[in-house]
Amino acid sequence: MKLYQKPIHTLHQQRLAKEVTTEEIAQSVLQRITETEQRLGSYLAVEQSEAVMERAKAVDQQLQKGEEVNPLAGMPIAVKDIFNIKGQATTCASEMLKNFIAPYESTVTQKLLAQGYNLVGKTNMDEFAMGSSTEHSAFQVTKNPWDLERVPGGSSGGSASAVAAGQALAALGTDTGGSIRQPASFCGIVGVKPTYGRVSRWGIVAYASSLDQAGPMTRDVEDAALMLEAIMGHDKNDSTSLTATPPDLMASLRQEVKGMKIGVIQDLDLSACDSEVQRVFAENLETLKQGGAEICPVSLPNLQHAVATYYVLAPSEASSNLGRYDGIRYGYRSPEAKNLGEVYQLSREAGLGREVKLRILLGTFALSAGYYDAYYLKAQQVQNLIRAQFQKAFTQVDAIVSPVTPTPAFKLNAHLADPLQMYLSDAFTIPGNLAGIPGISVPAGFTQEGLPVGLQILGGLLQEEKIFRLAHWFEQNQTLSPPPLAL
Amino acid sequence: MKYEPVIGLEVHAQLSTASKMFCSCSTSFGAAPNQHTCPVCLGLPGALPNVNEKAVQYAIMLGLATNCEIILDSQFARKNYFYPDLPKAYQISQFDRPICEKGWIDIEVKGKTKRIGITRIHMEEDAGKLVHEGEDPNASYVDLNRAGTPLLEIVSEPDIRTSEEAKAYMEKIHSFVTYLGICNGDMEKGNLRCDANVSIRPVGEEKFGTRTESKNLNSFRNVAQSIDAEIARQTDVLLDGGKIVQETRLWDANQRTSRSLRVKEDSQDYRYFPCPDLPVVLIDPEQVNKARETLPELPDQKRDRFTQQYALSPYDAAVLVADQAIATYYEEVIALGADAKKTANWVTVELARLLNENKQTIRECKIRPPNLAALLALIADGTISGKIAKTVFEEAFTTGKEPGQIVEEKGLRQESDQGALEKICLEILQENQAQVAAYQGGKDKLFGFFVGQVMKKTSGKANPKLANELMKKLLGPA
Amino acid sequence: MTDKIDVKKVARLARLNLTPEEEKDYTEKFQQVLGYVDQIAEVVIEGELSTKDESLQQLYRPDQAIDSSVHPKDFSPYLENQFFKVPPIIE
Repeated sequence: MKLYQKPIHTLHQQRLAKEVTTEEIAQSVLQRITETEQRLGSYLAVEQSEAVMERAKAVDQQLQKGEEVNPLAGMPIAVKDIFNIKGQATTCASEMLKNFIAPYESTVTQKLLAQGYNLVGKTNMDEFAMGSSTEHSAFQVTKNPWDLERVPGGSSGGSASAVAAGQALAALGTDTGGSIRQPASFCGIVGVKPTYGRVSRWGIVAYASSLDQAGPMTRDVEDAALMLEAIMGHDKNDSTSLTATPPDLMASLRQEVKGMKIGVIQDLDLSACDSEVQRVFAENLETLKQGGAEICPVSLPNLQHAVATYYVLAPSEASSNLGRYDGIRYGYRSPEAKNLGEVYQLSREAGLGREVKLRILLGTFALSAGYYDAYYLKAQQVQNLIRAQFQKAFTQVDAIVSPVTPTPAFKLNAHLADPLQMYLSDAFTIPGNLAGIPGISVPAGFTQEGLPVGLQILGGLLQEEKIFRLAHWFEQNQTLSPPPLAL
Repeated sequence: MKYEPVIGLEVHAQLSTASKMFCSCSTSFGAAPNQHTCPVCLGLPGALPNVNEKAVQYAIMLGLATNCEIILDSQFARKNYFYPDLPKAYQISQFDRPICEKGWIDIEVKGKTKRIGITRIHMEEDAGKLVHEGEDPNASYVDLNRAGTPLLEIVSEPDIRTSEEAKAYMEKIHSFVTYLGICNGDMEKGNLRCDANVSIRPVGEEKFGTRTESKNLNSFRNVAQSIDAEIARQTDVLLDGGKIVQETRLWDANQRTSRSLRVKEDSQDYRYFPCPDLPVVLIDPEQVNKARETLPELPDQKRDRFTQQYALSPYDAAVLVADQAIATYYEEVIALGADAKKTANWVTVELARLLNENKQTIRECKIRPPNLAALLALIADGTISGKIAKTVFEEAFTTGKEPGQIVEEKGLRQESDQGALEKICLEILQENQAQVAAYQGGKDKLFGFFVGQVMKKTSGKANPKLANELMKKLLGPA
Repeated sequence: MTDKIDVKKVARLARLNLTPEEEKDYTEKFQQVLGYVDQIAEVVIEGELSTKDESLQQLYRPDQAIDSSVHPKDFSPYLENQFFKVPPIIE
């Protein structure tokens, strides 16, 4: 097994045992990027090799001196190009921000910096995180490492393909309607969307503020715990960040699944899912049963309206959040603009992509006079209903499981002309965002074609420990025989 | 047809906090362009607002002072529109759940008290500034130092019927915010400004007419004048058979006319919705109780106390309390032993006149309370006459010198020595024998002439009472 | 819920310039997405549902002025004499 294929916690143990150096780890990942990036297109910007090696070397020197070193120190990690990293471009895969250099640091990357992480680059995404395939990037298409003719999912598709391909040991993503969990599932890695407010949003470009949440994308559950423990916690700069004591995730990994009550949503029609996805999910339930978990039906009657609800709320917030991209202070300004009106119209016309404009239009409409009550207000009420139904369900079960997506990774261009089909690929992940609850996507099997399929585990508000406990047990107690990557 | 005006005021008070509404940037005035800015008030990607605790406290204080209900779970909302001085393309304000609702204040017009309803008070952030006079005449320039400055918007019910009432209302709000210390009340700088909604309707009609909004009225006088002009304009339009258009009008204080700024259009759709970056503004009822207990004495209470404690007329008391600094000044003079009624006269007449003539505030005034108290003591103990005192007062106002010192330097001490005065009186009688004869022949009106001569000869320093007595004695009966 | 949406008017509100071809395309997509979204009208809401998020508590910032380390010159290509310069404002 190559170094770039291993999880961070394993590599950390190995370097403590002097079996490997951080430099060797960094070298392995950089080498992998060189070999594969042209075919994959995961990155919008890759750090200079010298800088990455320099940081790795510094950690090795600390180790040699016998100093204590964090597991994440020196480990090559990728960051979705939606996080501000001071002095670097934050493009959000948009022409609008192509030349925008972030003058301040996001809280999440600041926290990783405190752990000594080794930034390898910034990953591709759907423009402003709007999309489920990373095809809506203004700059490039990212491929799925398991099948280069398929999408890696989105919007954190660059992060997912980078981790899956070994171009990074872990990555940061953001999840507004499934943008961490869906690409994690498509690419066969672990992705976590924490409880809304667990992780600070300061310095992360906003798409839909009440739903956006950052989280880790990793090779395995233990790495996800390592990463999430590093980035979560209250931040006074984000008024929606929670003051609740962060959970001890590492401790939760050592617990059994026996006796856990696991809910299966009665109202979810799986018959519309890809048959291979159905098969894998059935096998997953069997595994959990054999581990001593109790499978219980739970009722979430309004779940069928989740996608519709989301596509009112998220575009509404987006239409307001993206108003600031007006060409006045920073970002793209059309050179043809002769007056203020043209600065707005022409800059936004050329600076924003089609899907982004569609969502801005939808949101502007849903908030406009005469339509607010029927759309925004009603959607908020349905959201509250869904939230309340989840809360009730979590009084009966410890976790709820489902497939992450109705299908495995779809082909490039499959849904580009049909936004609704694209939106429906997030049908199982969107409810978690609407309810604000934590969710994790764990590799759960492969289709006959050799495409990864994930299992989604949702927990109650602030119940990250439970989903990590279940996810880790599941990961350790299933037999996966992955086919080789298409690289 | 007789028309009746219906007026409602929207007052914006800039809060005197050290930092902005949603970020820690300074609110101080006069910095270099865009110096007091940060990711939040620049509207940078990924920046998030953070509520200023003091701004919330100030809103609660004003709400309590104006008899409002304090909403314990109010909400911030986004008001979306594009303009270069609005960096996020939305203003964080409050919409359907403001922090204060359903209050009232009393105003006094022509000796009568009238209650004006307060619909709501809400918190919001100010916009930046646009400068049109830059290096390039074909460009505009944006300065965001003011962007994000905390404001309270105070919306009145349409209870106001005359420009006089509007002015009195505005003055009352001014005295409230300054008494509470939440706004410096400087209208010229725009720290307290007012938009007036005016409509007219036939007397007896229940339904409101179409209203217009006059923007940014930055003095009490402008409030009154613009409203009078707007009432006249609307009356003319209706009498000519025209229709009032709902529009925003801009008042030109120099020309004393208004012009249409923009007609209310469909495109003016602010798309308000709850700000997802800010949780509900939860207020602990305990905090409200505490604020209520620690509320300073307000103008109305102070006025009532002044009339009782100092036996002042309601009018004098009202004049004194209109400006908290004046009221404080007044009480400082009293505390030094001066007579309450006499002090009130000096403060409301002489002092007010000089301040007004010199465009000074009481804080800038060189006559401090101990100086005025000393002056009043000099009058009380007969050292100077009331008339001379005015001269001393004016001198002290300009130079800031101690009244006692001025009296000594200028030799203004009152002549009360009976022997010396009698000698002067005799001299005058000697010099004016014809008048003496006329007086004694029955022209008693000449008495004033003799006293006047005494004052003239003593440069006004003669004790007037003594001069009278002596003359009467020396002249004998008329 | 919706009959004919004037996409052009919505685009004006959002300061988005649309070519005739885009207008046609967006109108189609708009109808398609809204046609789907309109299902939320069917959901029956019983009683007054709180829109409050109980898990969030309000934390205020003390009123303290602190100079930011971020300045417009760090990110803005549109500065002149420290102002953001914009083309003339013609309504």
